Amino acid sequence: MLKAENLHFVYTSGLIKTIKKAAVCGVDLEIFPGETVAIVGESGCGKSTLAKTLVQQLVPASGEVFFGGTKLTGMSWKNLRKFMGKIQLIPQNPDDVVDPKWTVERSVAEPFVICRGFSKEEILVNVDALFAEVGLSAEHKPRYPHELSGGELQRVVIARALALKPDLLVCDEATSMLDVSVQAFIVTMLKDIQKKRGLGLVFITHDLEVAKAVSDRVLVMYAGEIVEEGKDVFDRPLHPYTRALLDAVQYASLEVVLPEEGRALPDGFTGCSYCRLCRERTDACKEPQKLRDVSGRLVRCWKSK
Amino acid sequence: MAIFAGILAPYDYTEKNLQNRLQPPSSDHLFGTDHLGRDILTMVMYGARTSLFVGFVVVCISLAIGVTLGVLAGYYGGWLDEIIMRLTDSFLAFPSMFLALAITAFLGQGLKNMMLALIIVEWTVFARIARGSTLDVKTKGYVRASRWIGASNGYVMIKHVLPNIISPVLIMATLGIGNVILAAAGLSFLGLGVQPSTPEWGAMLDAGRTYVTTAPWLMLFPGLFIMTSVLAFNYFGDGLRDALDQKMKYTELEGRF
Repeated sequence: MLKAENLHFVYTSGLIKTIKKAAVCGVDLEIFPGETVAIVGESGCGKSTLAKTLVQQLVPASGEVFFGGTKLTGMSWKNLRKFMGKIQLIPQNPDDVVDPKWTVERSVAEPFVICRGFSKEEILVNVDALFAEVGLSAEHKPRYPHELSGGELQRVVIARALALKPDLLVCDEATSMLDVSVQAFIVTMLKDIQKKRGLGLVFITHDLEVAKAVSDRVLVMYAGEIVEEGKDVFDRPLHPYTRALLDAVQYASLEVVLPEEGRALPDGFTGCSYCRLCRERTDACKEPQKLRDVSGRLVRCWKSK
Repeated sequence: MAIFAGILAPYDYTEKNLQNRLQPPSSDHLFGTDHLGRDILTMVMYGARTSLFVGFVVVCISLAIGVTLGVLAGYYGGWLDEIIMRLTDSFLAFPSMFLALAITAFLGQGLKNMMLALIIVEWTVFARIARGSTLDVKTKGYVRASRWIGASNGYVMIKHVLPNIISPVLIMATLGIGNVILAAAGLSFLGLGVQPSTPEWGAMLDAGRTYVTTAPWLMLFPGLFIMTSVLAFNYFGDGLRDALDQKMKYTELEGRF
């Protein structure tokens, strides 16, 4: 359904001395209808940037994104409008996405108003259905965002995203701001909605537990690259980074927590981006690493068998 | 009081009674009379009409101009922002009273010209505030979110940006009314505002200037009213800020500081 090919994104900053930071480097991925894909990785590895590039909120430096066979990258705003309702992004911070001066009911109704072609009665019926779907009652409707709790607000945001009947929901750390009980509630709710509607879910998270619980497939990202992809990544990690990441959760391993400088690679280095920190590195790691198919698993490490 | 001046006022403001000139305040003339025998209380009441009218109209028009330009500049950024903001800056570079003086001197005396001059001076303040707030609101998720479901720029500006920047702008507007009343009084005092026959607080101050030692009430009462109305608008601005901020009512900290 959604397909990305060789996606690159580079942040530039500075006026005189331009600093470039590649956040996404050559990501290929495909998401199938009704599937849940988790993208995990440490903070700063490019997860959120990848999410924004996938939904076209950021324009990639190079590479293509296809949606159901149509190329989205390079499309004009006008043409892109038709696809906007079909792919929705649920961002990390719910109180940023709803207008503080609007009642939440109005916020949920907004997609219908913008798309036109809905009568007032239709909008009311649709909004009622959406509120019911995310488990909010009628008493929440006339409230303002600051009068709702974080969990309730996140459900409002989800209701709003569901309004235009999307085929794909990209949840960018959608539950990270919430406490554990609410997290579980939102995640189960999303899974239920997915089952009912048959939509694709992309779960971007640093919470490996959540990723493990919800996903059919896991992508592990490091330094803008996908280093491992497969179905049982957490049970049988092959890439050294995935192992370190899992260890970090268990033992708070130093390697993963190491600051940026310690892992900086020399300019023009094309080898494995993890080789500075990798315990198992050899000279062969200086060669460019490709995603290799290791018995049904894609791994970006020459060692894995 | 300004609205009902016609009913409340004890005398006609054109009524001159040279025998009663320069009367001190008494039961007949509560605020006394001026050098032409006119009742000061009546003139202050009618003067309120002129002053408040000037204040409101000038602020409303400059608010409309300033907010439109400011939102456009802030929202689109780039060269449009550069053009609008350099224009604003060049207006702001002049001392405002001096600029107003120069414009009225150039256009000639009169109420309309004075208001025009004040508008030219005032709109820059609103443009600056509107732009600043727009820059802040523009980066918010709800602007991006509604763009992402296909909203046009115009829709976003009117439905999302405007409601979210309007409270600082309105607060500035109420403070601005006080400012404009003061500036208008100043210009009239210098003889660049209204015709001498129309009652206006600043013009009254000017007329009373020569008699300040012998008949201080000529300047005292209009001056007092300028002060109270400016003060009132400032307090009103404060109150408006509290009323417009929905969140403040619910914060725990309220009442503790």
